[in-house]
Amino acid sequence: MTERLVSHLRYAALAVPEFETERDFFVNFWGLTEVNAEPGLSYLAAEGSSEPFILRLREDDKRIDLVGFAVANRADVHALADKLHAEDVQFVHEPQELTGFSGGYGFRVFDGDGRVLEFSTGYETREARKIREREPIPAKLSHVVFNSANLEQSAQWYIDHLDFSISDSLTRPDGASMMHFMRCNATHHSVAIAMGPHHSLHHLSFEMRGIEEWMRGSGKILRSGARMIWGPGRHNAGDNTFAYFLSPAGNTIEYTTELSVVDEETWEPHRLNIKDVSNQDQWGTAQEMSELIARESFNDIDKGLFVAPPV
Amino acid sequence: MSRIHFAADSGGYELGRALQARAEAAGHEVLWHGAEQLDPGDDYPRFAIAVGVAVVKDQDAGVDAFGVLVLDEGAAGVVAANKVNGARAVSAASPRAAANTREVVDANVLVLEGIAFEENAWLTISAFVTASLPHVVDLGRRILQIEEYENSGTIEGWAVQLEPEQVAVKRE
Repeated sequence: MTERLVSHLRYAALAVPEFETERDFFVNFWGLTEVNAEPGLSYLAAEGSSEPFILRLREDDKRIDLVGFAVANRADVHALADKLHAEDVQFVHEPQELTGFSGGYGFRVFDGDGRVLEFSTGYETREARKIREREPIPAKLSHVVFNSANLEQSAQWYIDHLDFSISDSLTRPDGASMMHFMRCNATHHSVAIAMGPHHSLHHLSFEMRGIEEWMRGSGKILRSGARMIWGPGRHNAGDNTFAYFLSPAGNTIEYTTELSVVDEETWEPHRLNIKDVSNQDQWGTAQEMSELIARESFNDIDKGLFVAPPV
Repeated sequence: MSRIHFAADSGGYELGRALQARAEAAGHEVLWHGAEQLDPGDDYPRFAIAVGVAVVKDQDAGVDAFGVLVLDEGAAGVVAANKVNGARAVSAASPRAAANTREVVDANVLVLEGIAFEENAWLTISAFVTASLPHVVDLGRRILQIEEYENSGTIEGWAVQLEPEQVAVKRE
């Protein structure tokens, strides 16, 4: 089995121009808790997660600021940094004490397309609590999905440099890949990369406690006026339920539950043809993955490629 | 123990107050939304709406809450309460029927009639507030279809106005 230096997905950091509107939506409706606020900067936690925050919002032109991953300890941080240096990966900064909210020790690099990734350890964790029955708030960040104008190259970067594995892929009828679901631990996917017209955020997905909480939460978001752009349904790749909405800033966000955990010793990846609707949606009730849904999730072109965020 | 929002019109006032006392004695947090006293000939819609609004507001805020209406005409109360966005009001004449409404449609407002037998009415409320939606995705999906229609007027899985060039392309 692959020995990986990355242990798990920590958080996503986004910049949005209508910062307060986006933050208020995530706090008042989506169900995250603001745990630290600085001018133009908000750190949002999920009550069910021991991560100090799972989403950071910053006021600026729309972009993905970075995606944060956890590493087990300082020795692994240095081992990963040495490995990436040897592979000529471009660094934003070397391993160092992190001075932002929740601290820790780590470094940042650009991935193959210029997205910023952070690898850290030793940060202050938060006391998680069990989400109550029927409580319509996320338990944790489930996964992050990017659009890429160069799908195979983008995905290969995560395989070559971070030892991610492809769990499953979606393919076009002609056999070309459309989307790769990638894992860095037994969770079916923490990162996925979709073929798009440009590099951008495809969506962020948040894990709910169970079906009842997923349903209650989705109903609440519908009442908030947010548009449900795809769902409710259940994916074949990952076996998770889904309901996708658009945030005020036009970011696609998902409530999901029951994302599968794979046995890495025996798991064989599948290639699922999107023409077979049941590969997208086991129930077939959530509409075909159409041009429209794809367009809704193309998002705006990421303005942050190969540009490090100020924090 | 759950929070229960109670209301009753004149036809259900006496039973409603008796059930309120039983719910409080059982340890539930009870909020009474009227009538404040017996007022013969009063109108049920404002009670039904008040309870529906309070339940949905609590549930969206993560409070485990239910509604109970005790009315002269139960069917009329079901119609009125279901005008509240997010309310799923039902009538049930037995504990088993009440539990079933929780299990199939995550009902959140129970409507009883004032002529109901108090002991049976109490057991019906008890079943209602202790049953839960089974961990079955089909049930949740169907409820979300109702809620999508309630909020967007569609039942298609999205709530987007289609531009002509955005109409789904079906590939052969």
